[in-house]
Amino acid sequence: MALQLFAVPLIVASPGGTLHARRVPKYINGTANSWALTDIGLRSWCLISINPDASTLTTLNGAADVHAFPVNLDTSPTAGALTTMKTKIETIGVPANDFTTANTFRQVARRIFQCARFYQRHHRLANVDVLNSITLDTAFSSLSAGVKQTLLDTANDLKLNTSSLSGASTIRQILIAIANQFPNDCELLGLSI
Amino acid sequence: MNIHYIVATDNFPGIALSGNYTVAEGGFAVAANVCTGTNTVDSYAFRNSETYSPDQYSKSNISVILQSSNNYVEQIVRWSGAFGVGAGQSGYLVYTDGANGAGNTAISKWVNDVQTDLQSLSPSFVNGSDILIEVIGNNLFVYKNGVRFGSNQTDNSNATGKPGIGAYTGGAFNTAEFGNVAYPFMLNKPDALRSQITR
Repeated sequence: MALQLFAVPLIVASPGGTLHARRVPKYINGTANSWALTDIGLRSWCLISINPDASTLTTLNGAADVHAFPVNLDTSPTAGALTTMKTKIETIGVPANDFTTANTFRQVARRIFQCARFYQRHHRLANVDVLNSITLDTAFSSLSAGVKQTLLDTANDLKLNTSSLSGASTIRQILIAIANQFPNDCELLGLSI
Repeated sequence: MNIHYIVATDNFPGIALSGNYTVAEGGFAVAANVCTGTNTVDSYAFRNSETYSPDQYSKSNISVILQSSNNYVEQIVRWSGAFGVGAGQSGYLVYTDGANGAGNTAISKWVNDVQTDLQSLSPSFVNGSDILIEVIGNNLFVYKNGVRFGSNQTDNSNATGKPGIGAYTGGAFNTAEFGNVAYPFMLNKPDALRSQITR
C-alpha cells in the first residue's frame, strides 16, 4: 500500500467509547491505520491522508460518500471521472466548476486543502458554516451585513488580499481567489500535495 | 526540536492548582508535586499570568496514564475560552493514554467547543515520559522525550491563546513547562517570510 488521499465525511463519535464525542473520519476511525486530516471548518468533511490496509482501502473505494484520489496525484481525470469528481468536491463546499481534464488531481487536492484553511479560520471567528443558508453561487452583495463582515474578518485575519473581489463576486469566485493566495506548502502525513 | 524560550515552570507545590491558571473545563487536584485531573471527562487549564507569543509550547512529565481506567494526559497550546460558556473553548492538544492510535494518542483541536482529531500518533507514551506540543504559525509538532513523533500537521483554526495543562479522568503529570518557540531557520529572516509562515 501507499499513502493516498481521500475526501471523507467527518462523523461525531467517541473513540474508544469513552472520550468526549468529537469529529473523526468516517470508515477510518477505529482502524489501526495511521492518518492525518484537514477538516473543512464546520462542514462535515475532511481531506485525509492514510496508508490504508487492504480492508480499509476496499471500504473507502466502495463508499459512495468518499472521493478517492489516485496514488499518483500528477495524473489527470478522464472526462467521466471529472464529472463525478466535480460533484463530490462541490458537495464538500469547494469550487470545482473550473477544473478540466487538463488539471491534475494534485491541483484538485490542493484547492481543497487551501479552501479548508479559510473554512477553519472562519469557524473560529464566526462559529457558523460558511455555506449556512447560501450556496457557492451566492453573490457577496446579496449576503447579510453580518455574513459579509465575518467573511471579510476571516480574510483579513489570514492577511489575504481581497482587492480583486467585488459585490458581484460569488462565494465560488471568492474561495478560488483565496485558495490561490496560499503558498503551495500543503502536506498531510508527510504526503506533499 | 525547535528553539524554546521558557516563560514559566510549575512543579505543582502545595495542595491546589495555583492562581496562575484559568480552568476552562473540569478541575485539577494537586498533591506531592503531582497534578491530577478530577473531571469524569476532560479537564483543561491555561496559563493566565504571563504573556506568550502565538508560537508557543507546553510540556509536562507523565505521572499516570492507564488505559483500563481511561486516564489521559493532555498538553494544550493556544487555549482560550471555557467549555460551554459563550462560544466555548478553543485550542490545540495532544492526548495520550499510553496506547497508540487515534482514540488513544492523537493531535486534536477544539474550536468553539467542537473537538476534531487531526492526526493519529504511535509514540508509545509511558509513565515517566515527557510529553510536549509546539505550535508555530499553523504547524503543530509533538515530542516524546524530545523526539518528534508524527508528521507535519497544519491547521488554521486557532491563531492565538495560551499554553496549559490537561487531563482526562485521573490522568496525572508533574514538572510542567510553558514558553515561546521559534524555528531555527526563522532567526534573522525577513518579516515577509515570517508573515507567510504564520498566516
